[in-house]
Amino acid sequence: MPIELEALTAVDARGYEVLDALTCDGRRSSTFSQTCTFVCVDSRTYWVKASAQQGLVAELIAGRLAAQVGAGPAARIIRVPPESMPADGSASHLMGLVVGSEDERNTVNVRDLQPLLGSGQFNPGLVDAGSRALVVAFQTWVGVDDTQVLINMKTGQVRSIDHGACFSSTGQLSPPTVIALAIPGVADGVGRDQASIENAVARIEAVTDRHLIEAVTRIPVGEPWRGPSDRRLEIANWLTYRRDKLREVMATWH
Amino acid sequence: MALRPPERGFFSIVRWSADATRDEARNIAVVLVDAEGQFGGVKTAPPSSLSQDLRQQGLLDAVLHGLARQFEQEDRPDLQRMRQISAGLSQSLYLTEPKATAVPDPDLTLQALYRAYVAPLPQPRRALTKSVVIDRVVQGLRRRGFQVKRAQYMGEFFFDALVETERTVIPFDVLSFAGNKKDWLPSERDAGHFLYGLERLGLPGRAVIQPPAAESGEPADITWTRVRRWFDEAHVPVFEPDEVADPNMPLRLGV
Repeated sequence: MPIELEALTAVDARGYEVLDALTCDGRRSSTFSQTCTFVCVDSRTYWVKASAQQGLVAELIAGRLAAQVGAGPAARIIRVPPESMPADGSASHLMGLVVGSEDERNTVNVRDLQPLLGSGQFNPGLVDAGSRALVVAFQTWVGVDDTQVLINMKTGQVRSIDHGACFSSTGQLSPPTVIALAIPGVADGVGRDQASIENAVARIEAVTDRHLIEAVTRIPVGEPWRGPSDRRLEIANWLTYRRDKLREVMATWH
Repeated sequence: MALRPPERGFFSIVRWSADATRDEARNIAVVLVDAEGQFGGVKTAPPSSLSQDLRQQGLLDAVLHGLARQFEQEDRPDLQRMRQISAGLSQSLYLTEPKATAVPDPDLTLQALYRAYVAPLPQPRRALTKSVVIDRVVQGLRRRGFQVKRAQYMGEFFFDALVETERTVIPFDVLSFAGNKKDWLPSERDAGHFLYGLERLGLPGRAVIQPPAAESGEPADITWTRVRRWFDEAHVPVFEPDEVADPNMPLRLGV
């Protein structure tokens, strides 16, 4: 049974929670969104972005779900006030009500792994099979477009990040296709064992419709968010449909 | 966690390097000010987490406590003062260039910046070493309003803490038997040195002892009993760390 608009409206009525940014921590990325790190009042550091390919709503919803299933860092609504800005104006584009993804220490984007592999600083044998399977299952489920993955250099955990390009075509219910990003130096079979896949699929199947409603609600309005209720409802029902197809699809990856 | 509209503040990180010739400085405190000296404060890492060396702990404590006391005065440090302090410190101890920060609440902001930049990484269970117990004793005494110097010489004798009263100075000895060490002889020597120093200086003293824990074993119990007897015979009052911090516990320090 599809999720109804009334269910979203009821949760939206509770209003959204905002986390206040304190100061620009100074690390930047040269990605589409020109993200920058901010320390927030909860003492955690977040990669903050004010724009995303499919709206900030995509980054927030997918980030919330990633944290729920344990596939990636948590995403939060962040208020970046003028008082937190560096004097040089280099982060002015991030001011306002934006989205932040929690920074995780000791991680490296897979795109930057090759030099570390060459110098021996990255040990491919460290990569954790269970977390790789979980990230493949998660990214397959939410249909990431611009696939990005972090590797924790100490634990080998694989993490899904940067979900701003998700949900580009939710108008048509379409079964997922496997999205498995290759990790330099890591055998393609890592995470493709039955136990890892089963555990990953079970975690995503454990996401109930109620969880999905929570993930797509209590979100700011406005252009950078691009999250009117009818679109968020469409995303929720698209995710429901794909969650129920995921086991079958992931079996083809085994 | 939405708070009232923030004010603008500035913060610096206090950094310290045990060896100024090596690029191994670490963050040991955060200082928060605003442009006019309306609010601000200092939050420092426990000295026991900064160095294994009791004398270095005392030195760092003196500098950081001195900085913190400036914020207790009516004329609080402002951004200009922080820049002056920053310019005046270099080598092994220095402040980073002040950075802007939103301040929805000064205490909350200081706490958040401290946890983000300074706080030691969480450990499963921090051992109650002598240095950790000294942290608690010094902090507890200061909260009760006593003037305390940590890890200082008096004359030719080194004491874990010195409490300065109007009439005298009272040395403190701090011991911990909460570990599972095999050799407790250094604790006996520590106590013996303390009692000898008191006798030579003609001063009253106080001892603070963390009792043995379940894992400490019999040798710790034997030494603990022995040094307590020495302190009793020398008429040195003995307290447990929690008692020192308890405002209802009379320490009879003559204040």
